[in-house]
Amino acid sequence: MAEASDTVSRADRSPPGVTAAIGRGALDVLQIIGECVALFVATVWHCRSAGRHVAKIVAQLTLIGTETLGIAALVSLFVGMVMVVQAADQLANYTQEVLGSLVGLAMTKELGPVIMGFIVAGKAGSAVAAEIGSMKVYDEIAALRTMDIDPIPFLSMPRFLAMTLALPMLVLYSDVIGIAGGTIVIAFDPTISISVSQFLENLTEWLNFTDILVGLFKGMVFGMLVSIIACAFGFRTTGGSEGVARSTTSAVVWSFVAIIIADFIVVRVAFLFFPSAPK
Amino acid sequence: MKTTAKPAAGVTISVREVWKSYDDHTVLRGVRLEVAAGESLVIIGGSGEGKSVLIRQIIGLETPDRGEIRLNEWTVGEYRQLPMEAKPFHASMVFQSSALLNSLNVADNVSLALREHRTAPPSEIREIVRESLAQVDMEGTGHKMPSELSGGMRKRVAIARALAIRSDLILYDEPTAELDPLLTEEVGALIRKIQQSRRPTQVVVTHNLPLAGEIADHVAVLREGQIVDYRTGEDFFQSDHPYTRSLVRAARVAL
Repeated sequence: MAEASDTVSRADRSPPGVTAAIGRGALDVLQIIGECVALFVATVWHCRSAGRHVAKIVAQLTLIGTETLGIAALVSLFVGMVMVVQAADQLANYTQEVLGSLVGLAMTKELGPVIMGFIVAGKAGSAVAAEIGSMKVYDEIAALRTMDIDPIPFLSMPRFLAMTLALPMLVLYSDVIGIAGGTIVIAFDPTISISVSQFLENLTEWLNFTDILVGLFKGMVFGMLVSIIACAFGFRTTGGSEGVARSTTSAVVWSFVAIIIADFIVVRVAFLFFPSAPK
Repeated sequence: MKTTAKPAAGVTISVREVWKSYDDHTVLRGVRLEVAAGESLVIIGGSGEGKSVLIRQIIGLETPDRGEIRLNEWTVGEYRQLPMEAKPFHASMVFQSSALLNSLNVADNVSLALREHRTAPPSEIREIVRESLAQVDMEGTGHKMPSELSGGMRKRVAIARALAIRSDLILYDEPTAELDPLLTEEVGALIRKIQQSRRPTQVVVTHNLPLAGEIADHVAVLREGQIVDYRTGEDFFQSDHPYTRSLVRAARVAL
């Protein structure tokens, strides 16, 4: 009997095995997903009171704009430029006339939304997770609760609406600057055999409104994801300033993964509903 | 909601056999406590004895695993469910960190609950803020951001926030933590002033025994999750309970 209890106590003290670690990790992931879904539902529900929080929503939109416009322009410009340089090299032995459609479609449908999603996650999403995380660890959220102020309409809803509105606008901004970057390379790179007018003609011929719309829709979905993930990690922060740093990093990493997964899902659904959209 | 100086409504607190655990660690073990309306109770105890957990349960930020806490005839849960305008009395908490919202200036922090619940027109809210800040000797600081304030000033603004909603029950979590002796004296004087002017029910969690002696009608000593000693403020320093005596002795050595 004593031997059996000794075996049990030794088993209790032994470090968890690989299976246990994987199981615990899986449970954590499920818990975070559950918290994000619950926060999403509650936040959407509170959007009905958005009229009372217009000032906060505008403040968040301004913040997202000032945080991201500069870096978004720089990144989009160079993505457009490098895409033309790379594609022109690959197409040198075939035809460079398709460069317009290639850059246009890639920017509007894929690169614009994903790049903007990443930038907003990295700049605004991390700021939101850090802000709400600090409020949590320094009892500011508890103070709100003691005043009967629900943190979801007060904190989460304005950030959710601001990011959901801001990201499609940023996608459009990125599309325009990316295409402008491609156009600059076409105009000045001597190794490219097509003219700017040929490039733009090919672009407008192949790019239709549905393509732009799919990109904007992606931006909206990414905005929802980034805001909810950032708020959820902020609200679950514990452990002082180290905890805030952990939450901020996790919010950004989770946002990146969620954007890529959502991107795939939106593309698949878009193919189902708009068979003509992906040319 | 006309003036902040109006006498407080009486709030009695009844803590009945409250238990609370986190994972395997039991923090509160059947705590029982009664606080009369208008009374100032100080809760003393070592670090990690569950003092803060207890007052977070009184305000409704956490719920007991077992037992219940009543504020007058309502359980804390029932009280928290009531909308702001239907609440028969108001309860506030002054946090150890002050918990001012760093994105709002002092005036907006003080008026936050009034503005969010739209309980008064803007002109009246401005007057309440002015009056609340005057009560804590912080007139003319409404435009300042929390980051521009010292620790003592932040504490006073946090108290003004409680006064702005005319709190009938104010809970203080370590109100003098991280403050120098002069600021500690200031905050202590402020708690006494509120006690004398409005007579709200006050519960103060502190390690500061001299402060306890100055403001307490009663002192409860919490150890290993239980109230082990309960006395009037006057009797506290003459307590024959070994743990209380060791706390008093340690405080005298520190002085």
